This record gives sequence, C-alpha cells and structure tokens, in this order.
Amino acid sequence: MSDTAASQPSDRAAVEPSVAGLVTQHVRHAYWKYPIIAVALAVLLGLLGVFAGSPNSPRATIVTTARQDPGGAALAFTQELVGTSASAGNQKEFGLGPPGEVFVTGPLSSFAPLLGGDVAAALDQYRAAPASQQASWSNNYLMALGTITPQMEGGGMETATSPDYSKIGTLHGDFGPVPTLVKADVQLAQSGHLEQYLEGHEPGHTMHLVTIWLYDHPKMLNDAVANGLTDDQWGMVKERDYNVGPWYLIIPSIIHVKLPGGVTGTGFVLWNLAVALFFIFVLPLVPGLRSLPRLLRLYRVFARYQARGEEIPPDPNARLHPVLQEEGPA
Amino acid sequence: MTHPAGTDTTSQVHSYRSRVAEQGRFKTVLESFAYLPPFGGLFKKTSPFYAESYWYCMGGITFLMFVYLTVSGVLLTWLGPFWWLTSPVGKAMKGSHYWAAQAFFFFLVLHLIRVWATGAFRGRRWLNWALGSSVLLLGLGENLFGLLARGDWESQFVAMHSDDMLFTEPWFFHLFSPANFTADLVIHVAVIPVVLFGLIMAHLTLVRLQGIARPL
Repeated sequence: MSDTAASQPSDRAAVEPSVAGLVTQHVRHAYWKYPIIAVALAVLLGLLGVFAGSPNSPRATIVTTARQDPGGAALAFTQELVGTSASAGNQKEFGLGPPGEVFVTGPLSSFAPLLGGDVAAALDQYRAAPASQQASWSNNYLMALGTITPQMEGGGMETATSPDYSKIGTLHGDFGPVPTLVKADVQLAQSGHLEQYLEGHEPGHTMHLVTIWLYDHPKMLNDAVANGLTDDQWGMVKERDYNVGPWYLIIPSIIHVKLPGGVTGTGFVLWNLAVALFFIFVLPLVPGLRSLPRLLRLYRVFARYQARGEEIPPDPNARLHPVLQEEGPA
Repeated sequence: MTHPAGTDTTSQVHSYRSRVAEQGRFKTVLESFAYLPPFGGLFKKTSPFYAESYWYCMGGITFLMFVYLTVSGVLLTWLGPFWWLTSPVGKAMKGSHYWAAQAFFFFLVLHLIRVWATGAFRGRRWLNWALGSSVLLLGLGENLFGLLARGDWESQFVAMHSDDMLFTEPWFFHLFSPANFTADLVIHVAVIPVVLFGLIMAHLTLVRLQGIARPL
C-alpha cells in the first residue's frame, strides 16, 4: 500500500472531519470492485435464468380455443356481427374495420368454395340484406344463444359463460342466414383455417387479428380471472403461473385499481402524468418538501464514515503539479 | 515508492506503476477499464471519501444491468421468439433477461432513494434528476413492451387488456395496436432502447461534469 500518507497535506483533511462529520477528501475511486460485481451479478442472473426461469404460459390459439369451447366461439362470432364484441372497440384502429366483416363474412367469403353451397348462399343472403335486417337477425340469434347459456353462480364480476354448443341446433327463430354463417365460422376456427386467414390477411402484423379475436372469446378473460390477473385482482403486478411479477409497477397498479378514473385510459394516463410531474418537479423543487432530506439528515445512512482506526488513503491529486490541481481533480 | 507533493503530471499520478504501488496489482488490473482506452477518459479517477459507500454504486450497477439487458436482448432477438419460448437454452436466456430487468429496477430504485436522501437533486443538478426520472418512467414503458414482445399467453392478454383500456383512446389516433406483435417487438428492441441509451448517456455526462454532490 501507499507510503505517502504522512507526507500529504490533504491527508490531514482525512482526520479532520467536516462540520457534517463527512470526510470530503478525495480518494482513488474503487473501480476495481465493479468487474467483480459485474461478474457476480452475471453469474447470479445466469443461474436465475436456468433454475428460476421466467413466466412462460403457452400462447392461446384459435384452434385450441374453438375446440375447447365452441360455444364461446359461436358467441364471439355472433357478437362480432351484432357489434357488441370487445373488438368493436378496436374498429377504428388503422386497418381493422368492422369485426363482423374481418372475422365472419371476410373469412367465410374467402373459404366459401371449400365450405359448400349452403354457406355461399347464406353469405349472399346476408350481404344482400339491408343493415337493419342484418342487425335484427344477429340480435335475435344473440338473444337465443342466451337461452342455452348456463347461468353463472357466484362467478367473478368479469367472467362470461359460453353457450352450450351441443344445444345450438335446438334454437329456432328469425335468424336468417346467421346460424349457418356462425356454425361455418366455428368450423373454420376449429380446423385452423381462420387463424391462417387472419395471419395472411395482414402478414406484416404478426398475431394482430388472432389476438384480437381471442379476446372476443370468453375463454381468455375467464382464464385471466382464474389466474388473478384482472384489475380487481391487482393483475398488473402479477404473472401467470409465476410468483415474481413486475413489482415495480406498483404505483401504476395503485392508480389503476384504487384511484378514481384510474381504470379508464384517459384517467390512467393523467394520474401517471401527475405522479411523474410530482417526482420531476414537486419533490425536488417545492420549498419545504425539497428540504426534507436535509431536515431528516438522511445522508447519514448513505455516506461512508471513517471507521475507528481506519487509515484513509492519500488523495492522488495532491501529487499533481499546482497548475494541474487548479484544473480540478482528475 | 514516494512522490514529492505537487510535482507529478496526471498521467504519472494515474500510471499503472503508480497505482500498483498504491493498491497492488490485483486491484490495478481490475480497474483497467476506467484507465485505459477506449473508455478510460470517460471516468473520473477520484471521489470524496464519503461517497465510497456501496450506496453510491447503485447508479453504476443499474447501468451494468442495462448493458446486460442489451447483450442478452440482442441474443434473444437474433434467435427469435420460437427459440426463447421452446428451446431450454432460449428459455434460460429469456429467464436471465427477465431477472436482469428485475435487477435493473431494483438498483434504479435504490439509486433514486440515495440521490433523494443525500439531496443530490439541488440547484443545477435538478436537470439530471429529471433525466434520471425520465429513465425510470421510460424504463417502465420498455417493460410493458417487453411483456408484449414475449409472445406467450400473458403477452396476448395484456395486449388486449391494455388495448381495451388505453390504446383505443382517440388521442392515440388509433395508429397503434398492442396486439400487433411485430410493432411490439420493434418498439421493445429498437425504438425505446435507443432513446433510453441517449437519456442514460446524457445522465452520465452530467454526473461527470457536475461531480458528486456533497450531502446536505
């Protein structure tokens, strides 16, 4: 170690603490610790990656969803025709358009030659009808699906129940061609053709329409509720089937769950902006608040103090030529 | 080895021999990155003794995590979602990336607490406080797009749930859908990281220019 300590004027500062009790003398910064910390953390992260892994629930597909719950698929297609599906909210997004056309009539039109004469005729009948007639048929069918939907008992507030697909042939009413269209679309979904069509419809936007349709189906939200991932379950700070979630989102999560209007898009953004402005402007600039660390003398927790008997290394800059010292410490 | 006070040049004070004499070969070799090209000139060589506590390293460790996230992120992007969702090595790399993000925010919050508690936001340093806060806020956005870019069930659900709540708002001009995996991935691996890197560089530059703030 150095043998220069006794000869350096700046060393005297080391044993003469400042008023605040802080040793302000400069010492050579311990950069040598950083590679050790970096390697230790890299090893730790590697081990965590191997042994703890990360959340990885297999993604949902239209095929599996429609096969597991064809009633939910029928409900989704009908709601898309009526205009009450979740995707109706996406309708204004660039390139999307009406969900009834994107998810029902569009794919059926594309596959009509393969699906047989009934579907082609039903499609022609539906498209030839005025909008009011289309809406009437679709609404009637949606109401009828409700009659074959089991009633929920104490389910979550956001869960939805799917119609019993085995009873779908028992429905009667003024539905026009809608049942034929819906059942044909369920067939497309179960065979995988719908997923192919939607991916091919806009190939530059991977999974875009597929995911939007999956959210129309009740299964995705029901799975989320079952896994505690929705708003009222603090889903923002959770991961499916994994204990360590994004804990650092706790402030947006509190905003989203607890604060008035936080559940809406505009409210959520405004509250987050308010928190950001508080951090950036209010906390460091407002008199009184900005003095809090000084009043509480919090620096004592964070500063390094000279331990009893500890020898403080000399300031390397003390060896510099006076002209260089005037330029400030290197 | 002795040095008369006030006679040396900067290169002599920080020369390899001089540092070996001060602290031994092991530490001197380890700290080479802060003394040798190409990055040596960027590092200030001394700091006040009171700042030689681990609390003052939290910002540096946060930056280390950013570097780790960048390297692991480049590897993940190179081999793609099919690799990181199905291959055991890919899953481990994704897990490591996930934990590095956890560590990034952990150390960033510790750094934030230290900076606030020592009053290092005062005067002209407020600008750097604002830059650091921006890194935190943009980091949270980067995290959201990382979640969307994972390509698993959670990505699908969060895409639609956040879309339902947020991106259907008219002031987003209906130009973006988080269900669009292509856009999510590009935003996560290219757009936000570039801005984050710029903010971090500006933050580090100001730290270098303004030095360490003396506690209140």
